[in-house]
Parts: sequence; C-alpha cells; structure tokens
Amino acid sequence: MFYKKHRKKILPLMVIPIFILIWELYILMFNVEAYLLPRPWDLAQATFGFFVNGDMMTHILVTLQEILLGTAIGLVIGLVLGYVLAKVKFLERIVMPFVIIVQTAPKISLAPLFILWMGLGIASKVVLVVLVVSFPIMINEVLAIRSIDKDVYNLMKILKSNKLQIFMKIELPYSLEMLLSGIKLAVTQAMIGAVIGEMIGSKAGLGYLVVLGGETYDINLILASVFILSLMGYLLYLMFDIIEKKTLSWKAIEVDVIG
Amino acid sequence: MNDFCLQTKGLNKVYHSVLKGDTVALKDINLDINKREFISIIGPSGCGKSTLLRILGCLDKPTSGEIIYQDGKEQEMGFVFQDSVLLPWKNVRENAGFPLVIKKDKTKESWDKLDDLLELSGLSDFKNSLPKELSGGMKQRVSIVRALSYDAPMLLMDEPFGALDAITRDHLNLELLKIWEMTKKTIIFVTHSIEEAVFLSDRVIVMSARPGQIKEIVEIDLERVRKESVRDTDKFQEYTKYLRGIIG
Repeated sequence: MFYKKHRKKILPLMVIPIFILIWELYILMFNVEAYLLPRPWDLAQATFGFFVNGDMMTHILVTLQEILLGTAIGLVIGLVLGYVLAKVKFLERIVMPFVIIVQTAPKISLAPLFILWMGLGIASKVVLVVLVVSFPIMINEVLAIRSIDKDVYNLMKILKSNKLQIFMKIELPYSLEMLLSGIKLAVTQAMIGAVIGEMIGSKAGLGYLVVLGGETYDINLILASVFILSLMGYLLYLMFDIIEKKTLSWKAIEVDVIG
Repeated sequence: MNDFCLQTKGLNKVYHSVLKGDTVALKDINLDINKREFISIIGPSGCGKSTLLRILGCLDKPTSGEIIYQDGKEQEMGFVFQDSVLLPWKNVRENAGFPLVIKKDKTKESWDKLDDLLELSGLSDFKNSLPKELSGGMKQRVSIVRALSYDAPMLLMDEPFGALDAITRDHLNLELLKIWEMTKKTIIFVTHSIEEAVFLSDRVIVMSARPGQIKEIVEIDLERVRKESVRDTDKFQEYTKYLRGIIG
C-alpha cells in the first residue's frame, strides 16, 4: 500500500544508494586516488566540515541572494518591456532586431564586462542575472499579450470597458500566467548567470568556491559546491513548480519535466 | 414607429488593397429590424455576413452609410462569438457575470437574474466549474448567458453553434428560443445552416457574395413557441427548400 501510494517518490530515491554504491565500488576496484575522487563518506564528512568549520552558509546565501534579487528585478524589467513592446507596434519594429541580436549573443560572455564595471561584489552578478532573466521573459510577455484572442478584446469593446479594465482583467492575468510558468526556467537560467559571474571574478559565492577548489586542488570543495548548487537549483525549481501548480490550477495540465 | 430596434441606411464596406484592388465586402445594406424580432442572416461563406454583424456590433466601421439604434449611440448589446472566449481562470458563474463586474453592477437583483439565467440554461450544477472542465456546448451556453447577463435589449450572435455537433446544436437552438421568449430580446443571428435559420427566425436575410448584398428577406410564418416537431412539417420543408433555391 505504502509503496503503491508513494511509488513516484520512492523509485527516484532508490537511485541515490545505487549511485553511491557504484561510486564506492569504482574507487575500490580501480584504486582511484582521493585527490581525484573522494569516497562518498569522506566527501560527506568534508562537506559537513565546510558548514561547521568553514563559512559555507555565507557562500550559499550570497549565491542565493544574487539569484533571487536578479530574478526578481529581471522579471519586472522583462515584463514591463515586453508589455510596452507588445502594445506599441512601431517600437517593436524598431527594437526587435536589436533584441534578437543581443538575445543570440551569449549573455554570459558579457560577465567580464560587468565585473570590470561593477567590481567583484554582488552587484555585477545581479546585473548579469537580470540580463539573463529579463530577455526571455520579455519575449514571452510579447507573445503572451499577442496570443490573447482578438475576440477577448472584442468582448471588452462590446462591454464598453476602459483601458484600465482591459489591463487589469485581461492582460495582467494572461501575463501572470506566462510569468508563473516561465519563472521556473528563468530561475534555472539565473543560477547559471550567477555562478558563471562568480567564477569569473568574485570574493564569495558557490561559483567562487568551485574556482577556489580548482586552484587549491581541493576536490571535496569542488564537489561539495557542485552538489549544493544542484540541490539549490532543484529546490528552487520545485518551489516555483508548486507555486505554479497552486496558482494556475485552472490551466489544463501540461506535460512537465519533473512530475 | 415605436417598435424599431435598429435601422441601417446604405451601409457599404470596402477593403482597400494596393495589390489586389478594392474588395467590396458589403454593398448598400438597408435593414429595418424591429424590437423582439429574431433575425437570421444567411449566405455563402465570404458574403460578408459576419462583417455585417461586426459592423452592427460596432466592432468594425462601415466605409459609408449609417446605423440608427433605438437607444442611440450608447446602445447596449450582447455579442456571442463563434468561440466562447471564456476566461480560463474564472469559473462558470464568474465568466457569466464578467460583464456585471466590468459595468460595476453589484446589485443583488442583477446577480440573482444571472443565477436564473444559469438555471434556465442548465448550468446551475456547474457554477463553480472551470472552462477546461466543460464541453463545447456548455462553454457556448456560458457565453450566451454572459451576453445576456447585463440585460442589453439586443443580442448579436456570430455562428455561435457553428463548431458544435448536430445534436448539441439542435438542443441549443431550442434553448435559445426558450431564452428569447422569456427575455424578449432582439436577436440577430448569423449562421450558415438553413435549417437553423428557418427554425429560429421570424425573418431570414439571405445574402449573396461579391459584392455582399441582401438578396432577399424571407418571412418565416411558422407557429411561435416552436417545438422540435416543427422541423417535420411540410411548411418547414418548403421554407428550407425555397431558401436553398435562392442561396444556390
């Protein structure tokens, strides 16, 4: 009974012990040196040590702060720009080609520029995250507004509604719909932006730890940081997934990557 | 005359195109529609019947000509689109009452009336359902109730049952007549189904294509409070045959 009910959760969880077992066996069978790949238990102990003796928590908070702050600002900017572009046709015609040029250029390659301009602190990473997040949100917002059935606008016209009502009752809900389903992916993108920014130049954060680990040949530090990053990304995704499912319960259920 | 609802004088609609030259969508449309009349507009596709309805609903502007409404420029009307265009995040009652929200009508009277309409269209048990849970026929019912919710004297319907299966369609035709008899609205109904037009209407406006103009207006003299059985009478068959003949 218990198994049947929770099968969806139990099956993926079973992969973890199997993975650890293979890892352990691999080290034993091929005599892998500890500086190349630590044993799972040693890594766990080292990770624990980073939390207790080191300041892992501060680094996590720095990265998290960059991600959340950057995502929040990026969403607002993307949403506003997208809405304006969707409503003002001639502006779109002028701006869109440049948007696409910037969009196709890897925004990550701008990281050194921001670090040069804004220093090694949190600001340069936040700006990078804003850039990474706002573009896709902007384009999705343009599409979201465009895809509103023209008969919905006709309905509003028949009802003699004013512009504010159209915005509040129609365009805003449709934008929120897009936002809530886009935020999951935005946040994963934001993580990449933040970490790469940190790796290129910073004084704190998980990306900084990865680089530090690489430079000091500390495999435990690299792996611990990477695991924590993955976990963080997964939890953020899950969090926004739950928020999305709760708020968009009226939407027909779509196939999702993580069920 | 006290009884007129809407009058058009010499309506023309021309679409200008540099490449293909001008297309005359509507040519010299003169209509007199009385209060509480059920009018159908029928014609081959591309005859401009939807364009005409959109112009009557002020969703489109005529190139020339004028429309006089019983209540003047601020004429209130309901419009039922081919698709139900319900807002997916609102439940049935919220969707049907949406016009009341837009018009800031919070009176208990209006909302009670809305509940009566929902009852009349058999939607009472689905008040809290979301559009995604409804069938096509149900959605269109909601959209009709929505158009009626603010008690506009005129109801314009643009092939509202065009996308539905024949059985649902017959069913909704009956319901529409029931609603029409109870609410005493003027209904202008665009359709491409001859049977539907004959079954529902007092008068059928037959249009011809390119340029879209009125070919004939056929008075349907069948007993009122029509039942399903009307369809089997000889008179009904004669009307459909006649209309089929002139539409060609």
